[in-house]
Amino acid sequence: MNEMKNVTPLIEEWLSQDIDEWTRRVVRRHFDPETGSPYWLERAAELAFDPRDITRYEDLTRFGPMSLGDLRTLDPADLVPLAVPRPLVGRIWESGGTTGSPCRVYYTEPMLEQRAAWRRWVIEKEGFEPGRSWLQASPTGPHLMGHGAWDLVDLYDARVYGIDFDPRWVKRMLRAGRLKDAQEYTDHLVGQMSAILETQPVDYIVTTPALFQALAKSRPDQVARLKGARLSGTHATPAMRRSFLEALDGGLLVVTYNNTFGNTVALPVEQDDLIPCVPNYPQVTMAVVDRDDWTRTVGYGEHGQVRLTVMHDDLFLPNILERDLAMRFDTGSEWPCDGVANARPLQVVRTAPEGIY
Amino acid sequence: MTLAYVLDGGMNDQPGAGAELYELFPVVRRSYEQIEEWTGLDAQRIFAEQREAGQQHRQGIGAIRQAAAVFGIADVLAEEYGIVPGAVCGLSFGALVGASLAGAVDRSDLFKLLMRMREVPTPTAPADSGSAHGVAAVRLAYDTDLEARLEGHPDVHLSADLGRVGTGSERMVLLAGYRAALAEFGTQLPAGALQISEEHGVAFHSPLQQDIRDFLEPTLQEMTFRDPRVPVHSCMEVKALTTGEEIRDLFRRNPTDPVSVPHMLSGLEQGGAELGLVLGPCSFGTFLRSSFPVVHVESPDHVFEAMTAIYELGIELPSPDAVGR
Repeated sequence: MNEMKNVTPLIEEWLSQDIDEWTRRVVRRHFDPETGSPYWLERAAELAFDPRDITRYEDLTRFGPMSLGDLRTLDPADLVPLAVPRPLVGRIWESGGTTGSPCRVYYTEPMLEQRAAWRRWVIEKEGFEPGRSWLQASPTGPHLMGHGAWDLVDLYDARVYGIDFDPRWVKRMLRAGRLKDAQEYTDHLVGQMSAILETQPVDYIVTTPALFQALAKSRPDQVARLKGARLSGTHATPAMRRSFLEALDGGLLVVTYNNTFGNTVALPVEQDDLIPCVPNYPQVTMAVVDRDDWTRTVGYGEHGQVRLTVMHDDLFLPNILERDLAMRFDTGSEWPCDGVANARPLQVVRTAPEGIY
Repeated sequence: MTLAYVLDGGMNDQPGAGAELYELFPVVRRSYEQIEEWTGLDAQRIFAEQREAGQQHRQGIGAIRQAAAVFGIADVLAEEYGIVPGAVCGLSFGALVGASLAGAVDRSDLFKLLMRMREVPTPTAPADSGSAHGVAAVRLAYDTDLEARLEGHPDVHLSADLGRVGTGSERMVLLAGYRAALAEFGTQLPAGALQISEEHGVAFHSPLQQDIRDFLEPTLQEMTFRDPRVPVHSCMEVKALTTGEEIRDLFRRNPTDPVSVPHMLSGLEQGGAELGLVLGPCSFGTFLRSSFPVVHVESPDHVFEAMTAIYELGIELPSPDAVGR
């Protein structure tokens, strides 16, 4: 393994950051009148406070919830500080588009490196061996998850087979009530996965829990032969996790909660009914907040809406209110921030929670 | 069994419930036409009518509105999208509707029963008298031995266990009984822990409703109860009901026996539920502590969310033919 791949010092440096200091650093950079990001400089003019006065992470609530509408329409370059030389060269990444048009963000090279470093670090920690063959059956194209295949190659000496999965087609089918058509598309993907697993020496798989479940039902023999699986992109339940462990027959299993804006690290499962994760601090942090008051963090063990904050040097997205419900998880003294557990879709319902008659 | 339909208890019948589906789907309009035949209540009245001042909930048409909305969404899921459950479970009033969804009771019989319930004699005791009935919500430490706490309080009964709330260290229960006895019991709890409902002068799910049970018995005798097409999980104990007689017993005991959300969810878990669709108007938070995911389905928007959950969780649906549709 060459020196470039030793990311532990980087991770340790990030984990040792004081979140208030990190907040000041990122806010200062994005609101610098000369070299800040065009989007935030324009927003600053509309704010009732001077963002440069923000000194604490907790004060970020003053920005209000991040407008997903803006992320759907603006030029993502406008979110990048002018300190990054123009013209920007690189890929634009898009969210899945579950709740409408996709949100777009530009990842600068340091952001991609940060993301990759975390993946490199965590994959090793999880027990996956370098120099192995992987099958990645996941969204690619505009979806950042697909970029993970290159991370495996570049940072983990992997050989990666790929299968493309278009989640928007599935969403379109489901929106139209065409469940059978969506399931047929899954069969089509599982068929491709199975064909590779049948003839090729694949050790590990990266895919979504939904696809893995379909594969395990269709070809349990192939899943049992795998040395491990890393799953993210759709929601998984503790019951699914248990069935996956059984299907893998001793193979490694990691289920994480990731999206276009930020990733998490899966924490060891100590309780059978919990799937806990901790975000890639300090660039990504998560709070579990009251569904009726997004500024109030709920107690440990309580459920609420996931509020995500992104603080890269080159991308600042405070208070993204995810359409996910999760339990606030106490990570103890090992981690500098809260975790989330058992993330699942958040429904907007008219009725009161925990109502009684 | 993988997909379960979960139905909440009564009192979740805000005016307008079901109207959106009625506008969009002919199958729902047909359902309301049938309900009008059985009850004499047309769709607009079902959607809009509110209780008159002083009327008890059962005297209004809220239960009919709620049941109609549940049947509407179930019909849409089945007819338009081929989604049918592998099991059904309902809380209190929801158990009766669930039994009908499972084919154990004809819808016509159910609506006639609901109309009959409106005729139950009204309690006459003034609210401030010692014999007035009432119901109270109590939030307790989860490990509280409620049975022991209720000893020496013969006029206070456990009515409903709504399960864990907050961080999970507490649970919410409903107690029913004489209002004066409830208030007296409340003095032995931390201040504010017991809240007597000002709205409801009824001792739900308690022996004080034996008169209602007796009143409904002749109607239940006349009704036909068949073996359900899919298991109906009881809200009174952890049990899957599979025979018509068990369903009749559920209907009989409903006015007087305590109900429990934890029993419902445990039964469904043991029955292999992997996803619950909570149909129709509900207090959705009540079911969020299940070990399996739950999705609320009340409006057309929710259908997409239900579909996504079915897809992502890889739920295998029974064929509509297999469940007798």
